[in-house]
Amino acid sequence: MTDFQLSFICPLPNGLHARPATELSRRCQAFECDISLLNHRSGERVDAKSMLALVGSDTLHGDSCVMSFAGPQAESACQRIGQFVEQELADSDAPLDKLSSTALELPPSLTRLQPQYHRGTTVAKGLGEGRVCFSHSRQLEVFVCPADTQEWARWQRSWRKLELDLREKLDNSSQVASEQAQILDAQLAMLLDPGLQAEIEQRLSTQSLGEALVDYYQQQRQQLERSSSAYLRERVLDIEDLCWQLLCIAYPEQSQSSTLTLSEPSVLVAQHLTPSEFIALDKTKLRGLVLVDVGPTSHTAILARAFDIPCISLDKLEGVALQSGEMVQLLADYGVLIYQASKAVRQFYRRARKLQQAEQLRQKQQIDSLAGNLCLEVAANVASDKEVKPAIGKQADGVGLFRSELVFMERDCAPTELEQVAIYSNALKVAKGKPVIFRTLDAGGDKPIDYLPLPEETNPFLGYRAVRIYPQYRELFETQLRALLRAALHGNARIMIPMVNSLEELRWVKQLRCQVEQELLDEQIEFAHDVPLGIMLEVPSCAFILDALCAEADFFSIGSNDMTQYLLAVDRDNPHVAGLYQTMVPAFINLLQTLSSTCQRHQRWLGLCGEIAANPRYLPLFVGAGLTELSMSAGAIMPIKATLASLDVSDCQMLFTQACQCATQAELEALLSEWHNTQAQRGLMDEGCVFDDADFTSKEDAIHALVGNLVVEQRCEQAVALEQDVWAREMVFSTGLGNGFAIPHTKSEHIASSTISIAKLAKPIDWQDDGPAIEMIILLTLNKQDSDRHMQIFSKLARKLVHEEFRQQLLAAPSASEILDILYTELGEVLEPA
Amino acid sequence: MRIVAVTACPTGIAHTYMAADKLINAAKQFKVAIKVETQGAMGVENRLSRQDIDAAELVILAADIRIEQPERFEGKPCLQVSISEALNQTEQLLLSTMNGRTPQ
Repeated sequence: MTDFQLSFICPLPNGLHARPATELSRRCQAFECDISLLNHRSGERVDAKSMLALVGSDTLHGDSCVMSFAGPQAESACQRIGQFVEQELADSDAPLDKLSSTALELPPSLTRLQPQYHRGTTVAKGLGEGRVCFSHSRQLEVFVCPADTQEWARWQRSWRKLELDLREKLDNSSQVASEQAQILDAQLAMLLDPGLQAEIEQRLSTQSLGEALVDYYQQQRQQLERSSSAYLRERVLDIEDLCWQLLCIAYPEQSQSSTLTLSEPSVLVAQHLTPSEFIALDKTKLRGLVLVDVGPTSHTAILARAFDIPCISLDKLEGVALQSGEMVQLLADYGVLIYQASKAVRQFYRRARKLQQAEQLRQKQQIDSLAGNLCLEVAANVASDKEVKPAIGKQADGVGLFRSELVFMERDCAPTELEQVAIYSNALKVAKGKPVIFRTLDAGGDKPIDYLPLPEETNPFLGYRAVRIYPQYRELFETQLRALLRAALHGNARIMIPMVNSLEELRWVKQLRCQVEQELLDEQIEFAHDVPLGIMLEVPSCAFILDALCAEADFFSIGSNDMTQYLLAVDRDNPHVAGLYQTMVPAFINLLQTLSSTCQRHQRWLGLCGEIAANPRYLPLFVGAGLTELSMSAGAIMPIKATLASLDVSDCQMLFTQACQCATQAELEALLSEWHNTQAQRGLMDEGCVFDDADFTSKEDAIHALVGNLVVEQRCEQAVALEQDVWAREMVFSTGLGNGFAIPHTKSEHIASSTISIAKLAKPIDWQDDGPAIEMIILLTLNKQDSDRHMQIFSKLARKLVHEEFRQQLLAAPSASEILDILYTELGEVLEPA
Repeated sequence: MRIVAVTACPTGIAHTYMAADKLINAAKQFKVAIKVETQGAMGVENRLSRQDIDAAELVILAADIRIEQPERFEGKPCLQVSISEALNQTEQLLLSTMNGRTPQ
C-alpha cells in the first residue's frame, strides 16, 4: 500500500498544545489508516491519533512537520487532513491574553512607606488581603502499591467513573465559568485519548494501577519538561491532575488527606496548584494566589482569571519569608506580595481597594446608563450554536451573524432537516428572545464543501458561491429554509441571504420561501410565519438598487469585509495589493451614507457585521451614520459597549457629515484623530474631583487617593507615572503654603485632561515640611500640551489662594458643590464651561 | 518708593503667581508702588519696560530658576530671594528694603 505524505509548517502561535492537538487527533481518528506526525526540528515521530502523543511531539510555531498516511483510506485521509491543516488548524486555538512580563514601577505613595514585599509577575490582576495558607504539593508516589488480580477492573472502573465525573461537572459549569468548562473538556479529551489508554493498559500486564499511573506521569513529565515551549511545559500540571484524580478514584482510602480547606480569608501560597485543586477551593475565602513559576497560559492561571482571583507567580519559594497564618496583601497588578505591613502600608492597601471599587462602580454605571439609552445594538458573530450562550453572557444584544456554513462543512453528506432544526433551535433558545440572524449557506468560493462538487475557479470571490448556487442545489437550500422556519418557533430568528446582487435573486428566494411554507402547511408541520428575511449587503450593485430592495427585503446587514474588496477591487489575500485593502476610505464612507439614508427613508433595519465593526476608532462614524446594529466577535462586545456609553449621538452625526466631505483617506484619518483628541478633553473641574470630607491620613495617602481618583474619573491612564511627576515637584520644595493649604502640582504628559482636584480634609495631616498641618489640598495637574486658557485659570487660582478671605471662604463651604460654586464665581471671567 | 519685581518658579504653574500677588498685597499695605513681572508657564506677563526699570529704586528678583533677560537690571540695586522667601516672608522683605538696608 502506498504512503501518502503531507508537509506543513505549524501555524499555531502557542505550538501544538492540548486544544489544537485534540482537534487534529479527532480528525485523524475518523480514518482507518495509520497516521503519524514527524517534527523535523524535534525529531519526534508520534501517532497522530493520540492527542497526548501530538502534544509530546513538542511542535512549536514555525516547526516543519510531515504527516504520513498508510493503509486503507490513506489518500482521502491525506486530502481531508490537508484541508484541515491548511484552513482550520490556525484558528483552532484562541489567542491568549497577553500579560506584560516586565515589572511595573510601584507608586511612590507605596515605596516611600518602605514596605516589605516579594516581587513576582502578574498572572491575574487584582487586589487581595488574607492570611497565608500553604498548600503542600501532592505526592503521587503515595499511591504506589503492589499489583493484585483486580488491576484491570480497577482501571476500567476508575476511568469510567472519572469520565462520568468530568461530564457531570461539565454539565453543571455555568456560563460565567466557560474557561472552567473548556479545561474540563480538555481533561476529558486527555482521559479518552487512545494513547493514554494504551500506555496504561500496556503497563497493567506487569504493574499495579498505582504504579502504572505514576510511571506514566513521570515519563510524560520528563518528555514535556524537555520541551522548548513554556506553554507545553505547563501542561505537566494537567497530566498530573488527571493522574491524581484517577488515583484518588482507584484508591479512595489514600485520598483523604488531599483536600485543602480554607477557614478564613486566605492568600494561598503553593509550589504548584492543579486545576482540580483550584476548583475544589472555597472561592468565597480565597483572596489571592501566590504560585511558583506559573505562566499566564497555565490552566490554573486561566481559572484564576475566570474567577477573578488575584494571582502572582514567584521564581521560587525558597528564601520567601512568610509565616503560615500571617496577614499579607497581594497587589497582583504590580506582581507584589506585601508582608509585615506597617499601619501606613495597610492604609495604602485600603486606599487601593477603595479606588478599585470606585472604578468598578463607574464602569458598571457606564454600562447601566447605556442600557437605558442605547444608540446601537451590539451583537455577536458566531459559527455554531455553542458560541451563542457565552456571547450572550458577554452582553451581546443578540447574534448579528450566525455563519451557517459550519453546520454543512466537515461532513460526508448534508445535515438533515431535523439535525438543522436542533442546532438552530438551540441557538435561539439560549439567546432567550434576543434576535439571531442566520445567514444561509455561504458555500463555494473559498469555503468548499466535499459533497457539493463545485468547480475549481481562478477567482472564487467573483465566482460560483452563496445565493448563486442555490438554484442548482435547490433541495439543499429548501431543507435549510424549512429547518430555519421550524426552529424559528423557539425564539427571535431572522434569515439573511448572502451575496445578493439583484432584485431577481431576492425575488427568487422569496418565491421559494412561499413554496416551502405551503409545503410545511400541507404536511401539517408547525413553523413560524413571520420570520424577517434580509440581505447581506456585500455586492456594491445593491447600493444602486437599494430603493427597490428596501421595498421587498425586511432588513440589511453590511458585510464590510467582502464589500471592501468588491468596492475597491482588491483581493486582500493577494500580498501585492493587500496594502490597498482599507475599509475606511472616502468611497466606503459615502457608500455608508447612501445605504444608511436610503434604509432610514424606508424605515429598514441596517446592521454591519465585518471586522471593522469592532474598531473603537470608527465607532463614532457608525453611530453618526445611524446604523441600527454592529456585530462582532464576542470578546470585543464589552469594550465597544463601554466606548459607546461615552459617545454623544449628535456629536457623532456631525462627525459623520464632516467625514462625508473628506476627499482622501488622509483627510479622513486626520479628522478622526482630531475628533478623538477633543473628546478626551473635559472641563477643568467637576464634582467627581472635589471631596468635602476626605479621610486622608498622610501626605502619601492624599496623593495616592487624589491621583487614583483621576484614573477613576477617566482623566488619567497612568497613575504611577503621574504620581511620580507630582512627587518630583514635591522634592524641589514643599507645596505647603504655610497656612493650612497645600497645592501639589505638575505639568505632565500623563494627565489626559487638565484638572483641578480639591480635598477638604476631615482631619488635618502633616505635609512633611516645617509648616502647620494641612486642612485643604488643591492638586493642579496640567497637561503639557494644554492651552494657555487652562494655564490662565491655574494662575488665577494660585493668585487667589494668597488672599485670606478666599481661603476662609473655601474652608467654610459645606459641600463639594458649594466649593465648586465658589471657584466658578471667583474664576468666572476666565473659566468657560467645558 | 518705587519697586519692580520678577517672579519665576520651576513649574511656573502656581508659585510664580502666588508670589506676585503676595508682593502686590504687601506693597499696598506699606504704600509702596510696585510692578511685578511673572515668568511662568504662560511666558512673560506684565513685562517691565525700560522706563519701569529706570524709575525704580529697587529690583526684587524672586526666582528659583534663571530668569529671562537679567541684563535689563544691570547697574540697578537688586535683591535676589527665593520664591518661598518672597511668598512666606513678604512683609519682612519689604520692611527691610524700606528701612534703607542696602541690598546686595
